Amino acid sequence: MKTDVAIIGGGPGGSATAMFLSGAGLRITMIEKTQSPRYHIGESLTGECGNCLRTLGLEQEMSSRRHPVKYGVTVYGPRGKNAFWVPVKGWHPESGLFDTHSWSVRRSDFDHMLFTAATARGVSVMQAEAVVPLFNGDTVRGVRVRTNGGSLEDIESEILVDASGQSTFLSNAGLLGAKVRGNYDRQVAIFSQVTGAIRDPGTASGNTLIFYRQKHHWAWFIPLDDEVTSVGIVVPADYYRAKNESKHEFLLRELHELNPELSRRLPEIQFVEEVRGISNYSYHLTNFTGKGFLCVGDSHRFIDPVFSFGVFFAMKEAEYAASSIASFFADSKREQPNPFAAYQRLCDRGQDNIQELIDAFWEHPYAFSMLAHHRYPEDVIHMFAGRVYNETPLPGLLAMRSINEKGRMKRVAHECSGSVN
Amino acid sequence: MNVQEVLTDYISKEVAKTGQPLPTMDQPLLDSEGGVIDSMSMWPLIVFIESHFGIAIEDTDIMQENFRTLRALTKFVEAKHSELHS
Repeated sequence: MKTDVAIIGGGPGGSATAMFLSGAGLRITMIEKTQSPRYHIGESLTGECGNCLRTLGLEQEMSSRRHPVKYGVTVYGPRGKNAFWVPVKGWHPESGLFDTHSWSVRRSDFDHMLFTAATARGVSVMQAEAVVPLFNGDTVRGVRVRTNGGSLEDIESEILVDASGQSTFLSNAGLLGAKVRGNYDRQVAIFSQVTGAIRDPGTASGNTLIFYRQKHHWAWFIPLDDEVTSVGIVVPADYYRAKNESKHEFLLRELHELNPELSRRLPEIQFVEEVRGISNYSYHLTNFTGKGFLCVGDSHRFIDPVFSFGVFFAMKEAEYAASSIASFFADSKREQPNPFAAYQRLCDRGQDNIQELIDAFWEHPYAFSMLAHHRYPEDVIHMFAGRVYNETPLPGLLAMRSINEKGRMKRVAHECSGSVN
Repeated sequence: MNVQEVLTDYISKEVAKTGQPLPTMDQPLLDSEGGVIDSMSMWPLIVFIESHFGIAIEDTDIMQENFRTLRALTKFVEAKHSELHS
């Protein structure tokens, strides 16, 4: 079959790309191998992710589904004190910051909502598994899929969008550049969902909580509905292995021991989901766009889950991807060596900026705290929301970049002096 | 009072609030290593140093190594101070 745009993956990146493109007069085909809904972590949405949903006209739908409303995130220090709070705030070029909210979601419901909304807007769906990309010379010209019945079918496309998430379809096919391990790739996340968690009262009940123990050792607490809360522990892989416990034992013990404020909020733990784990999730792919293709979200990069940027990146990049794809079809010549080079630079800029934020948080916690509380609180609010694509970097971002750079130089100097002595 | 005395005096008032003993010149100041200065009390310390010594602490000065011990902090403030007056 033939289509204008083939999208691999029916998660938030795929569905959002399809929706942002709907109305452009293109034939769009979304290829999803599993029957939605499916389980996924990454349940807290940043402020700008909330805005993507508003742009897609889904605010009312989000409200009617009674997803917990998120007004911000609280990060608790090691002994359960010294919490810092970053509110979800919108921004208007004339009036500046204003109060707004985002949501936290049960991903199976949320992803299904997006998927259904995409099909309602005229996007075709094929339940099939992507097998290999198809080429015409050096240009990607579609994808071969295996249908539910087991037969192979070729889908010819002008543009192939890889929104396959951490499956990294095009990378596995050898099409992209090197897969670079991220700074947080020796981490393990163990997680489940619980009932009986104590939340903050009133409107604060839907907020995301982060509990910090020490570098690279932390927990999340994300309300999914009135009863159920997603909880997870992230630790260095070596630490997890040394404990020699089952995932269930590990999660139970850590939830009690990691932070006094977290254990206060979980007086009795009833898991309502199986305890699951993932590891080695931090990576970065270069050259994730080219003739006939581009990647969105996790299919090219995942940094670290600590500040909930996963769904945000998928949806924001979907918005930018859709705009680039629409421009491509509007251009009758189509002679550029890479029609999506500008899109790739924009994605890299946003992800690099969030990388600086997360590196500063882990490597320089005192400096980070000074910047977030006292020197650049507004810039940190912007960054937590996801306003990270401006050509002119925010002063707070520049400060983080300088601090990280100084730290890297010190580490290199230290390693060199160590090797000489 | 010289720099070391001023800083020791400041820290002795901080530890008085918590009942911890006054750290020696080489014992940790930061709470991540068991000391008295945490992310909340670091800001007043920075403001105090800036106003008392008339120096500006840059973003990139807020590195843990400069605040790790009284000795490191003294050295850091003295260096900033002499930078200012050289």
